Amino acid sequence: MLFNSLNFALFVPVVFVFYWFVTNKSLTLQNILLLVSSYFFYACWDYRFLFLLIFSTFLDFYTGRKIYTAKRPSNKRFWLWLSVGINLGFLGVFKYYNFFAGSFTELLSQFGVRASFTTINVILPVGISFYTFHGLSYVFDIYHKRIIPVKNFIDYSVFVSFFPLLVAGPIERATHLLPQIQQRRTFDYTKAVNGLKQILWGLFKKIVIADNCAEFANMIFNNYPHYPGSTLVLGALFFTFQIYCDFSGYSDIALGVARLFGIELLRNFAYPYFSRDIAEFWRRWHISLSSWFKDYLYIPLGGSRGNTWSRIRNTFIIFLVSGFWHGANWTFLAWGALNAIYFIPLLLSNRNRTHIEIVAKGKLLPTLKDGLNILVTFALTVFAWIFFRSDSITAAFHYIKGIFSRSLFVLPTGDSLAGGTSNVVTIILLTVIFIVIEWLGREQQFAIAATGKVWLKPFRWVFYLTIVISIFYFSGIQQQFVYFQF
Amino acid sequence: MKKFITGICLFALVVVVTAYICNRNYYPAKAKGNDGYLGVIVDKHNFADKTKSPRIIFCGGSNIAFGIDSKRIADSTGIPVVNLGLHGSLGLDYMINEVKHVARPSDIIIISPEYKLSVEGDHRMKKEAQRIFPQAGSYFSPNFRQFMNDFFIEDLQKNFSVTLAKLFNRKPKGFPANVVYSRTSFNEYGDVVRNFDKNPSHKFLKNYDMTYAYFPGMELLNSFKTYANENNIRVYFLYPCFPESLYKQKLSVINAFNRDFESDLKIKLLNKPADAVFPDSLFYDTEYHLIPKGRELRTDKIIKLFRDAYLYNN
Repeated sequence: MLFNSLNFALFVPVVFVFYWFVTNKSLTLQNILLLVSSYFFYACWDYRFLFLLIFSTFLDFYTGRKIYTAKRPSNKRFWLWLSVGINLGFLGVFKYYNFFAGSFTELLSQFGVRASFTTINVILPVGISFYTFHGLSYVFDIYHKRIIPVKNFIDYSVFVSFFPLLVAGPIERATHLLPQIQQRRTFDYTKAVNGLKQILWGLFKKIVIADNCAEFANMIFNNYPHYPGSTLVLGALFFTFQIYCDFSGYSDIALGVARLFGIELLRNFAYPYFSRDIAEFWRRWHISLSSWFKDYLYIPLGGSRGNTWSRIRNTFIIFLVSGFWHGANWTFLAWGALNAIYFIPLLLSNRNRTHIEIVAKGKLLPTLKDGLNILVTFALTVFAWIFFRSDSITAAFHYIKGIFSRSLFVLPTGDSLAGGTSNVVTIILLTVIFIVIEWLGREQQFAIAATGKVWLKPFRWVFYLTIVISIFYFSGIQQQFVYFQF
Repeated sequence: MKKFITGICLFALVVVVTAYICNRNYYPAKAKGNDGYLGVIVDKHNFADKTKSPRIIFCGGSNIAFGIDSKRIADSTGIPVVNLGLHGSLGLDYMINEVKHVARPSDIIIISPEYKLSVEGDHRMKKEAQRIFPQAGSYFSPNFRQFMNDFFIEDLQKNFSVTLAKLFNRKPKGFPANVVYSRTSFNEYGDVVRNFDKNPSHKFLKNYDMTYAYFPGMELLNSFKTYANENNIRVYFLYPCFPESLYKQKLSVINAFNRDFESDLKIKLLNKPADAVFPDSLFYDTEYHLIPKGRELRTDKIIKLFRDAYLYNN
């Protein structure tokens, strides 16, 4: 059940009505409803993996309690590592086994050893990387005494499986979400309207920008040897906007839907393409994952403390793990490594926390320096996305080689871009309009959060109606959300 | 909460009304036709309407459109012929509903579905038929998902270009009239008669795939037979034309189809699959599209079949 599907458009109102009109008298009933709806939502993807989700939930609930009640530190450690081992074990088998088996076979063949590891034919359970990390954050927080374990299994299950975040995050923290689940929730008109606006903006990003950019990005990346350098640049740009609008659009819908049920989820994106350096980019891109790695990996490793060597090592580890989290492919590792290379100079010169506030706060335009910094950071990001999108490292290098050729200065021809649902110029124009709206709304949680607040109601409605109609009108070929595969 | 629900309902209403108004611009109230292949649907119905019963009405996909000479059949039988055959993608359900709409008591229906004809057909194709000939909208009923998709997305998208063209007084692009797949390729009876490319590629003969599955429209055909009996309409089944090489290749599959039809179909079979086999050279660009020479040969066979079955003496 995709967020941009008719099924989801019917599913949410039904749950909403039951939630606020039938079960509103009892928190337990509301949570049971959320859990049943979430399991139904997940079963629509693949009911077989529902058992894996329930097992994973039970495992972390149980080990969390065991860690808390264990008297001896060695026992606490035992339960912690049991949970970590099993959770990562599942992730390893479903997501990484074939990659390691294949890579190891290839490595041995380099030394003349012929080995053949059996590969397994498994489907990656949707959302496994996300709910595994939910569970791990819970047991880590109990181990580090940041929280005490919950007593109610239903509450904990809702924390892991709440349907808006189940399949592609944001990766929630027990400290943030669990208290909301355990508290009585009342309907808040402003919050709900805000939620609807965020859903609308998320759908616009996904359907109008991401899906249309995806058509051209796929066409160019899949046939890159046949395109001039200038078109390859365009392809990389299309992918840059596809992945941002796809994932942040999904996150907007998730946050908006959760808000309809009186729950605030962690913000996942904060206008990353307006960042002035890579460090700022990583504070604004997939925030829930970056902060997860920071809290549970980077800081335990020593973070930015210690000598230069350990700081470099820690940075590489966190970026490589982050890349590897996205998928079992060398391209993701290369993407992670490249970002580490971008980041390290800032870290070593202590300039990694220079830009905390959003650019040009309270102003219409940035300074020339900020503008240039944004452009350079954006260019570096686009370059890194080429590795992320390519099928292999070799393909990525060929793609880059294709860009840096004489044909870079050839205008992309109309013929080479024919075939998309919408005209390429229209998509570029829409993307430019989108960037302008994002820029104007960059101080808000999402771009249109404050748009039209002072307008008369009819004008506001015309604005929303225009977005709705453009979603219908520009809907291209429905594409799977990119992050569902992670 | 009341304010929230009221606001949502009102906004949803505004969206629906806006989409409805826009869509009206695209869907005409009267048949408009167009220059494309499906545009002929209007002419076929006009011809059927003005032809007196009893009539022989051919119903099927493009094997019928490309495969009969209606005038010769009419001349030899003395009964006027209406060729309703058009496109397999419209689906058997659409075709049956269409012929039900056209048929009158005393008519003779010859139904000739292609081997792998789908019952539901392609929704977009049916919508296009409806746009050209609004009456066609009563030959199929979209499911809820299709209805929503049509109303909010498909129709709206198409409508915008039509609206813009109207606003800027720009004529919509015409369909090339000098190609086989155009309205002008049909004669008044509804047969494709345009001169074909002399050297068709015959790519379809390579990598042809057809596997056996029980004909999904069997029940539909049988219920149509019941309807025909109740309305004093005679109905017969005719196998579609098929190229010789593919027939040899797929003999076991076609025999299996034939076994099912012989045992389960309540409509009388006029021929056997082998009777509808023609040399590959007589086909145009698909396994069901005969070139004019093939059409004449098939017409000869059909006239003989009719005579043998005492179809027009009954």
